[in-house]
Amino acid sequence: MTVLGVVVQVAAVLIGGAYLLAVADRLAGGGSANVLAALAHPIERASFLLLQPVTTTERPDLPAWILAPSLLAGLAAVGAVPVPIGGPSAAGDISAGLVLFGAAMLIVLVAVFIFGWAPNSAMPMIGGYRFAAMVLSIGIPFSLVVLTTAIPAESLSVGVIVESQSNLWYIVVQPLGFVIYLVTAAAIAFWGPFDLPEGADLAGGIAAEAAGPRLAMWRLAQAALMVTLSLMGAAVFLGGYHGPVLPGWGWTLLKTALVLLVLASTGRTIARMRVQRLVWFGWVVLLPLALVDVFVSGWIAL
Amino acid sequence: MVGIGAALVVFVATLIAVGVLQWVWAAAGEHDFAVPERVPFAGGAEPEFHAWNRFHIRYYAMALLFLAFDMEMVFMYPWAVVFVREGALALIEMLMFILILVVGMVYAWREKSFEWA
Amino acid sequence: MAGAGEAPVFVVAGGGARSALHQLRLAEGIRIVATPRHAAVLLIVGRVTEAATESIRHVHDQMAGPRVTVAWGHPEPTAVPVRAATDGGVAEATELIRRQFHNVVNGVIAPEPVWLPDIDPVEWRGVGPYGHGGAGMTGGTPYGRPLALRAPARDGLELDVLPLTVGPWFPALPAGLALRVSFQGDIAQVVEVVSADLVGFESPGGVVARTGEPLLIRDLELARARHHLEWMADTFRLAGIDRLALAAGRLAASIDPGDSALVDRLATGARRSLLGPMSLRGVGVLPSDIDLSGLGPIARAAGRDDDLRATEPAYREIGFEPVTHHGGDAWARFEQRAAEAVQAIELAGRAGDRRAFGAGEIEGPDGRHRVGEPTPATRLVTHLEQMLTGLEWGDLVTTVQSLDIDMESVTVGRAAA
Repeated sequence: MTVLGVVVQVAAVLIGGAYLLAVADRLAGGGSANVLAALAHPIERASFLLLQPVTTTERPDLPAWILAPSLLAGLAAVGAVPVPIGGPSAAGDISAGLVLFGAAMLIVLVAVFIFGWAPNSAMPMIGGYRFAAMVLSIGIPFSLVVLTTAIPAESLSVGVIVESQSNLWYIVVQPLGFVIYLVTAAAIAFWGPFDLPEGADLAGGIAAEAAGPRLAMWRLAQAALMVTLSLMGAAVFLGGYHGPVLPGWGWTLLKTALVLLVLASTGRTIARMRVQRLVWFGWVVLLPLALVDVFVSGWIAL
Repeated sequence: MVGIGAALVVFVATLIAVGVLQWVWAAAGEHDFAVPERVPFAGGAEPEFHAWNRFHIRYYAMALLFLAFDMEMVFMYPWAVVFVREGALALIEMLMFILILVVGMVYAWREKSFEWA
Repeated sequence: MAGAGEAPVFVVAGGGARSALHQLRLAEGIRIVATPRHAAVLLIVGRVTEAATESIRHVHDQMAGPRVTVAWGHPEPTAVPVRAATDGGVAEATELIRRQFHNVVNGVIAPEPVWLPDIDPVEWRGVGPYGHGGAGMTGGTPYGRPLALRAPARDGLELDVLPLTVGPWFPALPAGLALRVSFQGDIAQVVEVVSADLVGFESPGGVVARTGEPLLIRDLELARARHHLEWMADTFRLAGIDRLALAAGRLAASIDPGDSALVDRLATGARRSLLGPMSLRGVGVLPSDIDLSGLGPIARAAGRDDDLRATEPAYREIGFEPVTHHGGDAWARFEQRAAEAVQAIELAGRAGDRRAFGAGEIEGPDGRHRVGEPTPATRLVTHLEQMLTGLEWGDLVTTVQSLDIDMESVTVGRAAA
């Protein structure tokens, strides 16, 4: 595939997935049971945001404020590149694709932090520091469970990992890893119940001072990040493009949509976690469980 | 050769595209904000100070613990690839390494590094 | 297209607006947002005093624009230039908000200008273009605002402290409550209640003065159940469980003596959503030196069998027994209020036309109201500084929410004392 092909493919998957997520989130929130209204909702909101002026505060760090949504979108996009969508033809493109993905997902911390720092306002700033505490606590379990899928495949290439699941999806041998992946992925994408940096107690938190097109870009980037995380989850745990009847890309997108819908529905049905409890949960619960997942999966792979 | 080069292109292209879109919209809706429109929001009262300050990060001990575990992650990437080839020896070696780090985590837990209020 | 979607509304809620606001949250086509930056419509609902004018102007000017203001249910004109107002019900208010939103977005009416003067509060005191190069650490005070102060932290270090007044219209705090918080990191090192009475009241004597003769138990208990359900809806919303918040709001709007099973189901839903372990358990435990008597559900959630209803013969006839919970934290208060809502609905069903509470005192949803005595909310506000000092900001907000402080009741209590 050409470079241009990769760019178009990633853009199409992320924007399509972001739209699906916005609709699913609308339905999950209970604001409307009407599917047609929910389908129109993201477009109506976006058209209002694009009509608003880009607000500013008294003395913002403007370059950082513009950079933050761009960086978040860039990280979401680059994280999706290593995932083969259509089939094994793309496999092995990036030999250390898993490392690239893991690195991109942890740098999300920087994008979110500067989005909170830039407006020079107290509530967004507290939100940014809160996100730092979150990612430092769940980053290690997240990396561990992603890495564990490389053990039986003996490769860090996502293509090879997907290919090695032709007989058995890794969710069967690593169910614990998949659950931890879902939990930590929601936290990295600051999605409910881990949307602490923009929790109700901070009146919108990192996004409290943002309006108009900047807010629209930020929401789009966050949704794209959710899609990337779902795409990778579907690839390394749910067998990616493997499946009968449908073409390979059909299976990849179907599984991605499934993970996305699971995350969207839990986002509004589980209560938001306190930050200190989340830090404790990440270190004392998730980290030991992730280590158990690593060693048990390793034992099975031997 | 697509590979990592494509990843770089995607990253830079997205970064620039979203940045330019923001700039175009800001320029199109050129707007001079009045002073009261620029006051940061905190519920209707006017702030007396700039919000930027040397923020007291009370979870600093936990952040140091993260550094220790993150270094361990660096070793684990190559370890995961050769794991099946090396067999049980690799498993036991990494287990020992991790157990030492976990002792650190338990110590930090006991010292209440995961709570700060 | 842009005006076809939901109208994003920022709400300034004055006295007597509680139930109206909860009904508005159920209305289609309106989205109540957490910050004026996300809003196009400013809704002033209920009674606000002259003292609130300045803060309302601030919030108004912080809306990103195009902006418009709507007033709802004001008996007297406000001090701010509101263009559209209604005294009608929820349907009329919804309709007016949507129409004004649509009009301002599509240019039918002109967006409102700023209400505050467009001048820098303090002249620029720097030398360079960014205020740098003068005296002091960064060499200037752009917009007249200096950098944060320094103060010793409680662990002995000397670190920055950021004093900030949060409120009175901060969406996560009770409407009208302003706290001056000295933040050190995300910890509220010092908390001070800024006491200006911004929220107006309906009757100067509060609940008690409105009750000259004994009340129908049925009405009182249904009002209690509605009050608790509205509080539950707010708690769910603060915890991000929107679906349950809507369910609680709908139930509160149509409460009926046969609904106790529905409230039970709501409480089960709260447990399934892990509300206790995720966000409420262990938060907001009251200091032991606070006098709990007369604090109603808060006292009963701490195991105190304190309820005026137990002394009323009419309540004894229908088999009233006070419910209590243990723990005294925010989760115990949730369980307590859920249980009391169920109990209230059952009592309303059994009450017939019995009456109670004629002698200048009443067990309200928030505790004991007695003529000449401060209301429960007034007493709680005096303890806030002690309770909130040293809490992480999220826990602070959870604690205040769990205390169910109504600023209208605080104003009434202050006037009575």
